[in-house]
Amino acid sequence: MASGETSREAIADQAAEWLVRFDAGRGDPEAFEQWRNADPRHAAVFAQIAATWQKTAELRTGNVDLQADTALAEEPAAVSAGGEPWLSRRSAMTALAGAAVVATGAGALLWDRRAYAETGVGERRTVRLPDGSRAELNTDSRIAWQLGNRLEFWLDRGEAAIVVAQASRRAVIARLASLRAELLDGRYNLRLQGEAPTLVTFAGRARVTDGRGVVTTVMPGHALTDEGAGLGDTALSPAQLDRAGAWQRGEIIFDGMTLARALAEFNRYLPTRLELADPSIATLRLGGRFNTDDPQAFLQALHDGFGIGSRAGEGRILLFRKDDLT
Amino acid sequence: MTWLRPIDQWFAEKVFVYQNLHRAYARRLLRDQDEAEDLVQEAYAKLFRLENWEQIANPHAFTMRILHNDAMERFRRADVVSIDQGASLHALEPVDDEPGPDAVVFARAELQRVAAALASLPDRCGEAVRLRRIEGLSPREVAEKMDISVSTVEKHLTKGLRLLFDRLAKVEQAEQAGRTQEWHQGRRRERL
Repeated sequence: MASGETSREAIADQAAEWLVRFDAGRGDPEAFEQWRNADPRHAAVFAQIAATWQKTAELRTGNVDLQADTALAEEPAAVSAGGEPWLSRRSAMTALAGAAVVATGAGALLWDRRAYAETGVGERRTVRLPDGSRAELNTDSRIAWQLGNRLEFWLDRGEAAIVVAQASRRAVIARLASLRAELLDGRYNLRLQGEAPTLVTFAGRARVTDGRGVVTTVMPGHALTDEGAGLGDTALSPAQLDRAGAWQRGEIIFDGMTLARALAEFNRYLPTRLELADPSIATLRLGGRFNTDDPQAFLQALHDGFGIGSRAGEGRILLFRKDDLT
Repeated sequence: MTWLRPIDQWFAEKVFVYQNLHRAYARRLLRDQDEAEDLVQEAYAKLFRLENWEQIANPHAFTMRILHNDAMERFRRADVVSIDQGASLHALEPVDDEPGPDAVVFARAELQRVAAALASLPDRCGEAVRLRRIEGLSPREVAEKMDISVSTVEKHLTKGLRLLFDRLAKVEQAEQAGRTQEWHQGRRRERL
């Protein structure tokens, strides 16, 4: 098994190099695709490396209780007290966190205490930051912050709208994935998709430094994304800006995107996921405005407009084409 | 397109969080640590060949089933077969319809192990990982703080990640329990 051992090690080496390269914003997506698709073991090992990498950041907000030897034994009781006994990991962590703001329990480790707030799937919550700035968290999101001579906060997961207070005399620094953004008075939308960050300036100005030290100023009406191969700045139309902030009104707006993408967007808000039972309808394009807490209206519209039916599967809702109607 | 895909996230949350169980099971099936690791890696690779991974109701049970079936397959192909191993393979048939292990408990246990593994990294390497991942500094800021070049930071991060990955995979179940215990007590003393 010596050769198997060697290649296992070599694949893990390559996967770690890819990840660190993307993290520093200098990955080459095409070369990565080639490497990833060359062997399913590459994809599998890369996913394991990425999961390990993500775990290290989870330590930041201290979901590790270092003081309780019996933490593992006590856990199930704490979870069922919070609601359903079989919650998903994320919603259960939210249940454990309970109140909006919890001081971290990882103070015993080598880093500073930080406060954080998070939302479960389908939740929305507004948090006032200690300098008077405001953060509204979208579904399944978490931010952590720390107040010193400046206010620093980290978007660990999901999406948040930030209003930087005019009264704040401190610099406000936002961190998401490999980006560091200094936010002037104004309104912003921050989102993480996986590890890919997007920052939208509605009003104000953001000075963004990426992993390689490249600085970009994001002006009002602009969006900045980093998908691992460098920063991209785009001017948004009024309609696109409206869509970026729609979630704060509890709305989700589809603009001719494919059904597959629309479902991915809607699923962020749903404890019971919508899934395609029939891949042939994935590329249908749809538009419309829906409430994030009302998937039934969305399903009805799919049914009436596209002849797409739905049925409850095991812990999810399956969508299929109703052939008998065509 | 982003470099982290939905299947990566799914894998992290529904499958990889049970990596300890998969390894322990593979070892009981094959009784050889190295072959067991092969079995686990092949099973994970199989998941990444699936088109319909989103539709798997219980990804952990599904993975255990792959491990079992692949072990049986290896067993059938083997020239020499020890009878007690064959018997134990049948005895170790996974149960598909029992509720999965508690994801919260496992996620938390994994995080404890990550914390321990992180604390055991070589100094500079561990510092780079902590500054980048826990302090949330950019690679460039890490470089400034450590007074080294960005490419050296990347080398430290790559090595650190690689070591974490290995250590998390290799810690034995019993050994791990003991170590975590010890480590807890160590921390406790420090706090008193």
